[in-house]
Amino acid sequence: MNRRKFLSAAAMTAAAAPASNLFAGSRTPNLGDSCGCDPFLAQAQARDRSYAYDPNQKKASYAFRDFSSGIKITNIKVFGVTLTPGSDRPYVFVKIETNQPGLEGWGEATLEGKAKSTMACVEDFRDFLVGNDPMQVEHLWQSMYVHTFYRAGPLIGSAISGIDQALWDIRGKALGVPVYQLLGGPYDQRGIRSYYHVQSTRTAEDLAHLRESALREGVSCLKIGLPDHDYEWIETNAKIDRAVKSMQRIREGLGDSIDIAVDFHAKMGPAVASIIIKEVEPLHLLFVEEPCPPENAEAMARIARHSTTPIATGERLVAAYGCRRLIELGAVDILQTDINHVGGISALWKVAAMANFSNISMAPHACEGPIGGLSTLHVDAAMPNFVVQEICSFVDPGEKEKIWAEWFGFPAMRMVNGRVPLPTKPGLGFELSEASLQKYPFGGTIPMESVWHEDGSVAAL
Amino acid sequence: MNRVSARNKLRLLIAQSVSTVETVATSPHPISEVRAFQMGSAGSTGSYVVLQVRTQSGLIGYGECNALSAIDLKLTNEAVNGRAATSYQALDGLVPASVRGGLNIALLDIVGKATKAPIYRVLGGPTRNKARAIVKLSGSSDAELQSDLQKQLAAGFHAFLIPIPVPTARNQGSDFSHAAVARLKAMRTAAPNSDFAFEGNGALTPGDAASFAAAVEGMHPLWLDESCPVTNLDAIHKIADETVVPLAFGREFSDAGIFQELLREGLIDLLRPDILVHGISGVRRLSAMAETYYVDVAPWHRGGRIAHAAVLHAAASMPNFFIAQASNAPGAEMPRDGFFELPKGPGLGIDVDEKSFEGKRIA
Repeated sequence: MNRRKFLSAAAMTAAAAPASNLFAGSRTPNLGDSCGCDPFLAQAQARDRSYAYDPNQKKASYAFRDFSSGIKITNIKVFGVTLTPGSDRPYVFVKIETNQPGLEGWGEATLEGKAKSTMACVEDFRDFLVGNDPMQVEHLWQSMYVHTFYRAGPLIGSAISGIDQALWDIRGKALGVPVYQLLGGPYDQRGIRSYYHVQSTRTAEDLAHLRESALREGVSCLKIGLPDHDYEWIETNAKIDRAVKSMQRIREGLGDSIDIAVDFHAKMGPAVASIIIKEVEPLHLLFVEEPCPPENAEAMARIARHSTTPIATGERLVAAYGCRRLIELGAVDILQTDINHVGGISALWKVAAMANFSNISMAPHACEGPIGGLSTLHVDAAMPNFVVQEICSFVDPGEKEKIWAEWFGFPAMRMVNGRVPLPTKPGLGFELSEASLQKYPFGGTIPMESVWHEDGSVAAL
Repeated sequence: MNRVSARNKLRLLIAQSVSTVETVATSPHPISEVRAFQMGSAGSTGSYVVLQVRTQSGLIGYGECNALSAIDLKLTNEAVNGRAATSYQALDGLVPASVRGGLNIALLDIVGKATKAPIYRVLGGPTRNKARAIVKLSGSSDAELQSDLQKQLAAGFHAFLIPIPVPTARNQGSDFSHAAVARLKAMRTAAPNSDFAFEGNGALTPGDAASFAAAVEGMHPLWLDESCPVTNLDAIHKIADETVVPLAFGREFSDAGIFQELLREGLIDLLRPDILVHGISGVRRLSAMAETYYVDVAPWHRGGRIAHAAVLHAAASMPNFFIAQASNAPGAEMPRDGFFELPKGPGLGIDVDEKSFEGKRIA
């Protein structure tokens, strides 16, 4: 039965039988014999006098007017923030304003290489959001996701993520508590154990310096990449050896007391990844990240079955729906969903809850701006299955950190004694002025880097 | 270990212990005491335990659990004393399993009272403005059930759990199937605008459950509750494979992982976790998983008013809630036109009369 027939059949059933009291009371306009695809449907409904159309009824919060918190969304603003010309990940920040003086929330919707589209996607939710009660974040999340009809991929997922974070920020501020308390945390008062990336380790001196500075800062975990960029789905002895040796060298240089994660960045297929991961078993890595691309959970599970090396993945997955198969297979060890793509705080919490039924751990990805980073700390603090948080930066802070500190008045996403301190203020725990962002005007979308094999064919990034 | 890194490690340890002391000292609403009261005689049908959690800041939160020994209560107090009442999730693993669900409800009650918000608002709701209601009909004969049906219809219910006719032996035949069909038909005739689910009490064999479900599936009962014990997945496969009647299980599962097994095998259409075992948070975690299978949740309990309020807050803080089962105890809340009203006050939003606990304290 096609959709048109099904809808009209449902409409006829509704007309013929007295509605069961159990399910009565729906305010949804009856589409009648229409599939909803007629561009003139709204006019037809307006002509139909039996259909008293009240535009307020379209608001998600309309059915909740007796439950209103008194707070209403009055405006939503989107900011593209480019730190340096040519950056492929200008930050996309979302600000939601309310009818309560001074009560506003910030979120982040950054999607690498797709800045303008994400900003437009957030704007697309404006009419839906304005007028609604920002406290009903689960209800608004559901409406944004389900009523999008096509459900969410990375673009819509990122837009919803930014909005969701801003709504949690508002709710925390309105209730006067940090978001992690609304989630029932913290598990660890000391803060969130995190890891930095490794910058350059070309020489033995580089490695010695890294080890010293990591230990000095109390950093217990670091992440490295692979030595090559253009892996094929079948690989040569030389490139496999180079990959294995690079990990061995890092372990020797950093010693046993620093945990090492290795990001494969989905550059390989399961065949080559399985070989390398089996060979590095004696190094006892904390995890290997994205050993193959994200679409095929069974391929990932196949790699995981071959080795005791823990497998981590998930940064490109959207909503708990996107993680279901991986969790069901129980074959990955660590999920890395990203608060700026998965659907914000609401969705990251759900992924962690669901993963915990299979005792799968969480190490959330965070490679965008500071708002997503600060948001993710709150969810981390309330996860029973939390391992470690990514910080897309280095042991020695750089220019980016200066700008972040200038925005927030504190060094956002920097560890103290190996942990990022938990924010203590209500909401997400920071103040941000629009004026401070104006120094970094939006420089437009810059596509992500393209990578090619030796013969010119497409390689994974 | 060389001397430099040893020194760094020492510095690290000192810094950590200092920061721990500081944050614990400022933790919000430290728990001062957990008290428990035995309602009904322990172990008897309809008995449950009321938990009362007090904070140093003067807040009181209420929860319920199924049963609690004096030893488990003592262990609970030792584990949570001085800790932040707002850490309703993080304290879960520190206390005995028997108290977890009730403690979660009581701590959320405190979080709600501290923030002056109903629990569902703390958790991002409401996701609905009322909660659909169902009540189990009392009686075993058709005549008794019909009489209770009229009483409950008048009370405002539009959905009813009706018992499966009592099997006279294992492996039922034609009489049993016909009796089931006749019972549902008679109910439909008496209440044509109502809906019905079947209560199995885990009394059937998988084969009987499948035959029973097949006999009534054309009459579209809402679901078949606890048709047989979930001893292993293959037993449930038989029912799920042979019929399309929605299947519900869960009141006996203390290990939430069983829900995951049933979901991934496609053997469950409605989750019925005991909210006194899993708490509001545990039910929400299950609902997050069930959502990805497009499956609803209808929390179950055999507690009192606090449990009922907890179900309503869970219902209003998750997207995939289906129905709240009324307590059959005298004085239980009644629905209006098929739905329970949601509480609106802070925390659980109900008044608890401390006098009803007098002389019942577990010590």
